[in-house]
Amino acid sequence: MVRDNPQKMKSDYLKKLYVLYVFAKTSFDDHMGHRLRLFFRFVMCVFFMFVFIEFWRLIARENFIDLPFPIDDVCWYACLTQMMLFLSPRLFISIDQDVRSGDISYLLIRPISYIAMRVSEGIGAMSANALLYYTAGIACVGFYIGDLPSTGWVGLGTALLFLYLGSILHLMYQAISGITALWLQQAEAFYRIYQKILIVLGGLYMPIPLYPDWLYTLSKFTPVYVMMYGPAQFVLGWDNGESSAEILGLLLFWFAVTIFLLGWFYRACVSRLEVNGG
Amino acid sequence: MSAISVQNLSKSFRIKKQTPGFSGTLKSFFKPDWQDVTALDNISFSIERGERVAFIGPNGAGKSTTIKILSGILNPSQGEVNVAGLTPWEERQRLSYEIGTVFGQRSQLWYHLPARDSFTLLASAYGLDKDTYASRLSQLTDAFDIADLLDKPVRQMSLGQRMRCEVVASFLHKPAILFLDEPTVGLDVSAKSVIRDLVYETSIEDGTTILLTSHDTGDMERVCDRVILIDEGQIVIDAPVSKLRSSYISRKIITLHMSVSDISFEMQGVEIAEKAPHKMVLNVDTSQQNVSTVIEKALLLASMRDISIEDPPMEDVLRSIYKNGQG
Repeated sequence: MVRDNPQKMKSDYLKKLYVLYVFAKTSFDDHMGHRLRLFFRFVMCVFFMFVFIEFWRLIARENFIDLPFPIDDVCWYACLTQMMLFLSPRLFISIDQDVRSGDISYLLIRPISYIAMRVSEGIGAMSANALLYYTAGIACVGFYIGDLPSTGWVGLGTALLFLYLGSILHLMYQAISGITALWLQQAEAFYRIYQKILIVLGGLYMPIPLYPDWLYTLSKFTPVYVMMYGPAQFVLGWDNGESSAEILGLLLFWFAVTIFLLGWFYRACVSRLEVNGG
Repeated sequence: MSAISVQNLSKSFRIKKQTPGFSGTLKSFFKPDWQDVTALDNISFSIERGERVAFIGPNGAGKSTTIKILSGILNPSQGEVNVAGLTPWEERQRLSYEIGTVFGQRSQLWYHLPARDSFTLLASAYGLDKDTYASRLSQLTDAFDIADLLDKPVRQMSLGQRMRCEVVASFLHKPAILFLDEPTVGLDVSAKSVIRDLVYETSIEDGTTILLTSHDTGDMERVCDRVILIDEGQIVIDAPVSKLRSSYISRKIITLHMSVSDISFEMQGVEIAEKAPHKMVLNVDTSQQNVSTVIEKALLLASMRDISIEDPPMEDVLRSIYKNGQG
């Protein structure tokens, strides 16, 4: 069979990236085809965002805590962290199902890394979600809160950009959770632990500067910091926040660590693969 | 040169043995009892380029384990394997360009997208350049008559249409070796026939080596030239299909759907396997009686709404082999 001459390609690395892009694009198209699923998930997200807005408005109204941020900013923060949870597809379940059904054995016979393929597909599906959430979702939140965050469009745009990158990191940790099915025969247990860490240390329910100092410090040393709080803090109008360069640096660091971890863990688990179902 | 060469291949799995009951669960938790199960026991065979081989056997015989080792998914416990000049488990990614797979119960097509999108994705994964992809797709589209299906979402296709597209997807990168696992499972008689003929013709045209596992004797008879029967991890028979057919597959199943409720049918070499109002299933020994003679007689007795002729199930063939002392 005639294939592209490797010398004609800029490099094998670029070629592989292109193939992953095609997988992501196909997944994007497929995800857009699930219109009802996309819509209901979006409705659920908007519902939860409105609940959290009301929750924070009640806290502010009753003066339960002394907020160092404007209340509208906290509402925006709560909506963005909630959105981050809904943005990513449940990749760990896809991988878990591949392992349990034995389908993984047939996906491994492709000339592309299985795990890179699944993460790319996750990015494609996430991008389809982002298209809806970053337009209609943001419009709903803006309409309900009644104003932009105090950091304006720049703050909001920066937050959304980093939230997207943080969600890719989240997909990689979902992939790590999914691979544990090769070892533990189910991915759910590991994912639940990771999810609790993400929710608590990532600052889903409240901005982490409101935590006790030791918990705030602990959070800063975990990757979940740059998945949730790091990006969402750009809508909080206060002076102690981190700059985009700092968050970008942290993201790049955690991407490097996570890609290494994912690759190593994947190879270790696949080497002990005993395919289910024959 | 051999497309596939297997020498003294063995594979054992270590499984946890658990005694029933609460005490068994506790014991297994603190002190698990492991047991070695032999899936393949020192098997050797070789398949020439362009040969079409059926790999058959009862459930748990070791068929899937062999195919997974040949495709590089599993490491063997011992033995040497060479597929398209490569050691599968050491060079899986390189080997992936040389092999294709069709699995009847699994799909490589995206459910909500037109088949063309999945083909484009696979062409990109296998590194086909645009011109090669376009000409190959056009060739396969004509051969498999799927021009009308290319832009149809997979979810809207019948199972037969989907399987035609699955086979096209597997042939797209022109693999040297194609593994087929139950490629016609769930299909109706005419769809089965179409798939078998297309796989056979395309493999002849491309010179593809075929390794097929199936519980349907029809797949084996229509596609393959040679049969390897495996049981309990060992090769029981390695012979041409013609020999197996003359020795063991001397039966056909004829199902009559009659316009009358019942008929009385007696003929040498024909057994009534099942009888119900308006339906009769006949088991015909083809060494004693022609299928056409049986149908002629049935038509003389009553008019028919439908008649189908099927091959005996693989289990019957295996039973026949064991009965004749070959197992």
